[in-house]
Amino acid sequence: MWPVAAGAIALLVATPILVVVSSLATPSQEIWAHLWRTYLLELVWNTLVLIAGVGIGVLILGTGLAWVVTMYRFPGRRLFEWLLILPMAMPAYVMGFVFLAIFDYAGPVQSMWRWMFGAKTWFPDIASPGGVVLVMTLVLYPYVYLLTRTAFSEQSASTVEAARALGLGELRVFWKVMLPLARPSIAAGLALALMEALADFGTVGIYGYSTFTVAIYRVWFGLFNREAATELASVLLCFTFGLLCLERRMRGRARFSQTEGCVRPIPPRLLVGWRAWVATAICGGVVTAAFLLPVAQLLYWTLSTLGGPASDARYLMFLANTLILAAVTALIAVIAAVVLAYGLRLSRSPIVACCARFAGMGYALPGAVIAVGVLLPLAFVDHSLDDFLRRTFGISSGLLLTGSMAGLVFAYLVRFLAVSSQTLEAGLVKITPSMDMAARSLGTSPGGVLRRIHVPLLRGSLGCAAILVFVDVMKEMPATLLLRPFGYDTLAVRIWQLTSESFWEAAALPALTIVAGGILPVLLLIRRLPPAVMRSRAMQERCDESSLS
Amino acid sequence: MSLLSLEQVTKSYPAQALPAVDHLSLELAKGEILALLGPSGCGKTTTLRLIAGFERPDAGVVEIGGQIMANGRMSVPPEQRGVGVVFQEYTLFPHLTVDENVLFGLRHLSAQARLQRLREMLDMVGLGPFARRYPHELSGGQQQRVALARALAPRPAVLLLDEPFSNLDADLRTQMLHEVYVILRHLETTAVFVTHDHEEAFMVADRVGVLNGGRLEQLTCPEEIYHRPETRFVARFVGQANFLPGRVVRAGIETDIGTFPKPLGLTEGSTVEVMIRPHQLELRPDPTGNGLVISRRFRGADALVVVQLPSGVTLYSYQSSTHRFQDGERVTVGAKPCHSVVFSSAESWQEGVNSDHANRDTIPTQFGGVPSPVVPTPTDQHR
Repeated sequence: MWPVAAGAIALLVATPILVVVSSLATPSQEIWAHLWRTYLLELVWNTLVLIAGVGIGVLILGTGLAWVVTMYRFPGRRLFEWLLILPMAMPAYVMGFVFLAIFDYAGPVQSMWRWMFGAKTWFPDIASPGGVVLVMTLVLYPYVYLLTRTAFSEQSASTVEAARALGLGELRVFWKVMLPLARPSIAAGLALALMEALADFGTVGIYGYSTFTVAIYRVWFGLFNREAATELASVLLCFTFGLLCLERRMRGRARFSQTEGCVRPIPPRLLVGWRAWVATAICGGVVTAAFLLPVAQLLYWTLSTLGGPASDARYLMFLANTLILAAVTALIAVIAAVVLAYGLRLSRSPIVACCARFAGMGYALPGAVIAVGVLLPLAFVDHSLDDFLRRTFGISSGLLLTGSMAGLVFAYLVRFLAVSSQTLEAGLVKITPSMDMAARSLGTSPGGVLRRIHVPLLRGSLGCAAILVFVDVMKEMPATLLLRPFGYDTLAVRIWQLTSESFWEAAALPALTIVAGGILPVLLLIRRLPPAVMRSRAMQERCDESSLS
Repeated sequence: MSLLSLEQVTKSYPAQALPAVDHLSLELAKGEILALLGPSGCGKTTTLRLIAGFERPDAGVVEIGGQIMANGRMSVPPEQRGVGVVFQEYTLFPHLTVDENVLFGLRHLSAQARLQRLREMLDMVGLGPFARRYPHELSGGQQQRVALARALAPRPAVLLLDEPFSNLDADLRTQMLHEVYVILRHLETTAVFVTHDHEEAFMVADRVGVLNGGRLEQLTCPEEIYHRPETRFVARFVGQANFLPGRVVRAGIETDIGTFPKPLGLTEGSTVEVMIRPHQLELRPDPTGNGLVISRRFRGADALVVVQLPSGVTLYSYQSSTHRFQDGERVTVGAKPCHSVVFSSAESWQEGVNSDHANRDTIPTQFGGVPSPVVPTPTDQHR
């Protein structure tokens, strides 16, 4: 029974992905011709520029910072080790609008600049491709930083010492030994960061930078052309698949290059004098730009508008909407994950395993793509049901699922089920199968084993899974915008509405709320409660291992 | 009537060419302790899992207490079989205290009966004062005792022990072995016990079954297994063995170190090998002796002395460590086995009776393919 339920969940969650993939296989000539004439080339070009820019940015920032904090001791190193992860808590769209407000023509920095150097002095335009790349680099570099730092810290001191004994200087050791050894991890982190960049909607939206996610939204809401939206989604899917392949190949190799057992980590070298302060200044600068500055600005706006005319009176309602959605999704996602993980444990069937792996891909897909993939089957079900009822009973059911909470929660599930199930699975594999057998031989049924052994042992993992899904739902913007019930606004939706009309101050409180929520998983990550958290954020190696074998 | 019976039980795994358990049959009377002995991968743990119900047999019948537990078509789930299992790594439930662990399988009893059973079990393994502790607060030996108490608490029809002592260090192992033996005897428990250590098997079991490649090579009492192995594999697996070439003559079996009694059914003139355990060999210093000491290794209670015979055959022997044989010293080699265990080079024989399993072991064991404490045999050195 468990494996069947697991298979059903996996299949249900895989449906939207299959819908978009199948539309790729059956292209509509007419729509493609139209897309080609209008903005397809611009979209592809913009996406490539974004990938290249963000890619280079996160590589330099991520590996550079990882190297500095693992190799050297300088004032504040221990603090920076985890402070540098904090920007992960910041959704790109929040960072985006704060930077826009601060560095735009009307913002404080440019005003100051003009006051000091005159009105004609040149200042870089923040609302440019460069601005988008800067913002995304600052929020996405932690992926590369985290994975690379882990890779560096797993490298053995004796490897470095061997290279030094062979006559290589410190810098050359970095280039010739440490970097090549960490390359799989760096590439995996890069792929994750780029996947997020591709999926981003809010930032590119307010910066007026047309990428696929924005185009899907416009075609959908502006032109009500769902076929074109689906075709666009399928192109975006191709980009994502490319990155996914890169990530999996690199992860696969990373397993082989890691040394087993205990290794003596590389001892960091003490920096003295100006060098130490340069290191501190670099780390401090990044943390300030990517976290402290935006949070301070949000706090300032929130406090200055509190109770004033610019404040949003309906904030509590949006908050409640968001929390309800997030809580409902988290609960369902955890239950589904338990069934999925347990079905896998009990059946060992390759079919169930395959379905589960496919269902796990949702996490890599942009919310806009998933929204498209969810809407088509939902609309089909609604129309069939409506037709059937009208023919047999003469009543119309209208659109039951489309534009309902159920549809939205389903889309979240498609996207975030992987988060909960991977967190849970990572916990479950630590429970040896003989534990199940011991309980079974003492007269307990499989369901009883789950209740009396696994659930108590996995309480931590279950909590983690719920928190991760909860926060991800809180932050989610494009799928919510496309699928939410009419008039049902969440914090993320509200931020979109306010920022697209430049009401920065009013958007501060919802944004601050989301950032506060986003800090939760980062704290879990830092505490390393289960190491699984890190991995589920980072698409998880177990999943990849099984898909490779 | 037998309490546990396996009849022609076969189990294959998809990825493996040969079955893990191959037409295995055995019967166990109530209160009997059986040890399944064999190298890793011989199918002993799979056999245990088949009895417990964690695996379903492809064919054959598993019966417990006269009831069919599994055949090729159905399998009673483990929770309904009434078997207790003690695992190699103990697998105590880490979120439950000692008494909660022991109570785990007693949900069918009344509250009072449960508590009484708990006290009984904890007293039996001597862990009364540790009832409130969590498993991680216990030593390895204590965890092992809890595992035993937990498995025995529901009064299982059969207790299965999967290498229960392999995680303990040597001194503790002997002590636990003795304790477990006393407890099992006291409760008259029927038990199947899996191990790769022949001394453990000999010390605990009424009968020992030696498994090789999923098949039962020999199933009998420990003494028979050791002194009258039916196959070369068994001979080597349960202790060190020399195989001395000999020729069958009218008076017996003629070898380099004397003539041995001849079992029935051997044709005169045929060449055979006689199995001699290292401690059955006697060395006497003798300048005109037939043996040459080529190595001596002091081991404490005794010494391993290797001698070479004029024919080039080398023999391994254990001698009292009080005499210091020197390298190059001449000795007379003698042996006093009460009976001869004889193998032909192509088949195995025991006391002239041709065994069913005769042909199966010759190829791997002759080339030293046995992962066990085996002394390289004269045969090996010849080739």
